Amino acid sequence: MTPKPAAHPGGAPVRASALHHSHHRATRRGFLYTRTGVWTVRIVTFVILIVAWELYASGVSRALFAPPSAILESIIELTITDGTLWGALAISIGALIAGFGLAIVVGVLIGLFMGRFRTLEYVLDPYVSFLYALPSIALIPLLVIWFGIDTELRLALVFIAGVFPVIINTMAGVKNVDVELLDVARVACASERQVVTTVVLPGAMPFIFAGIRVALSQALVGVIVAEMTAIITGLGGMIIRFANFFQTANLFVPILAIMVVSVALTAGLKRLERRLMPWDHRHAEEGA
Amino acid sequence: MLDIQHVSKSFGRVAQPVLDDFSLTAAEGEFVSLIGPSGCGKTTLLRIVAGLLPATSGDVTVAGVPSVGPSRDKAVVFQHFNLFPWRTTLANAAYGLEIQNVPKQEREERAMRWLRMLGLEKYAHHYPGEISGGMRQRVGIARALAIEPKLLLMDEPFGALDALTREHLQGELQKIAEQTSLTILFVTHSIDEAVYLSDRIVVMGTHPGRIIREFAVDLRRPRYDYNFRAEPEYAQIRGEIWGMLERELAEDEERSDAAEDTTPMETPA
Repeated sequence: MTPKPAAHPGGAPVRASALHHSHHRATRRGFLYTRTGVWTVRIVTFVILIVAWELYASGVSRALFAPPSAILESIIELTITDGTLWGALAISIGALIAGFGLAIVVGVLIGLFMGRFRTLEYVLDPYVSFLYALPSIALIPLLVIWFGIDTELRLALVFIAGVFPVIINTMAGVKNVDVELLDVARVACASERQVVTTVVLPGAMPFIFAGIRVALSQALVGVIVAEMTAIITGLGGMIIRFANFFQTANLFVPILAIMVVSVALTAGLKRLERRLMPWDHRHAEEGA
Repeated sequence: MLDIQHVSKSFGRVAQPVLDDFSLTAAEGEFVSLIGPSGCGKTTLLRIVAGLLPATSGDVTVAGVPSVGPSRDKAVVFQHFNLFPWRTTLANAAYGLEIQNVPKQEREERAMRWLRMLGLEKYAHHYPGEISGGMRQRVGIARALAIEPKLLLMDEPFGALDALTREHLQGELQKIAEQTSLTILFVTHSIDEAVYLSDRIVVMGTHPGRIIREFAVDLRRPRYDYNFRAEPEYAQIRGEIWGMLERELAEDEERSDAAEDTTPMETPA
């Protein structure tokens, strides 16, 4: 079982950069390098892919492989006719967002203190490093014993998957803050609290966001795996149930839903990043 | 106003101090430059006066009060501007006042006054990454002046700028110095800049960092109004300082050559 590639939200950035690339070449004349050209090529190849898939799948057993037309039927059924997808989606995402928010708050606080106080770093660093190294899915059975298979389990799992990347990156960001900017705060007679809010946290922001991105993908993997192996509810549970009954067409629906969720969360994160760090997306700052 | 008495600074266990028995006083409104080769401890001295670095021994007094750490009557303009990339020009300039808990409206008004004086009002809402190096250092100066300090410490503030921008900012600094009663301690490696701006120039030598000589510059002020470089006094001071620094560099080279001779040669195997 390799859930990582399927659930990894890496799709969006790759796409975005590919589009970006085509903009660079737009200066060259040629239809393929215009915006319309790019989308024409994408749509044409997509249609070819779907048709080829349809043709191939119609010659194979429905239990093994589903044609796009059958998947479309399943999408309509699960989203409109009986609508079971929405319930599953709500279960999966609700706990994900709540646990993730908690992981960010706690992770940033712990990372901040570890970055500012060396003693605390020395004491906590081994635990953080080892727990970070442990794939959180290995903890699922233990967490089931402790928390049962309800909301608490989801929260705990998302929290554990998300908090360590946030701690480690926050700490790195805090330690990486420009000492020359710290001098400015010291000269201005800033208190420790003022140093943190005006220099350390804004300076560490890019690192914190890098940590949050990693945490998000880890948390998503954790939730889906737990749903597939232990809880059998939510989107992961849906996948397992459909697979057990060889309902291949239905099976694609939660998979597509996970992709959409992952891309949407990543895009939302990017928007938040742009909102919180407007300076970072303008001209690159040079030292002097 | 500024009184530096017998300040020495050593780092770690290195036997030779970076700064050895340095004493200097500056009157209110006086512009004093520190000039010397790299490694003469001029930046170290500035950081000690700023309160960013403790002296190993000696005392610094500002306006009659012993100065051991940062205080509100001192402000620093840094060589690399040190603006916060996440703050706009206005928010950068108002930083010191914000730290002093001055209400938002008042601190922005006060910061804006300096930005206007330095010709930056149009760029008040730009980020540092969006303005030129010269403008960034103007923001740095506005940030320092906005807290209305008594003592302004400047660490090679124009060293990272191109020649034209540098000259322009030197003129602006002179105007500011005239209009205020600021005492300015100015670190530079440019003789020309020191002569242009200073009432007094302190020439420093290395190993250990110490004062070699002090010069008073009596050129008529304001100096941006005429070609001060054509004055005989300019050529004379410039020549004397240049000769002094050259001798210092040569002696320093001899000293380090002598030190090398005592270390065993590495022989290739």
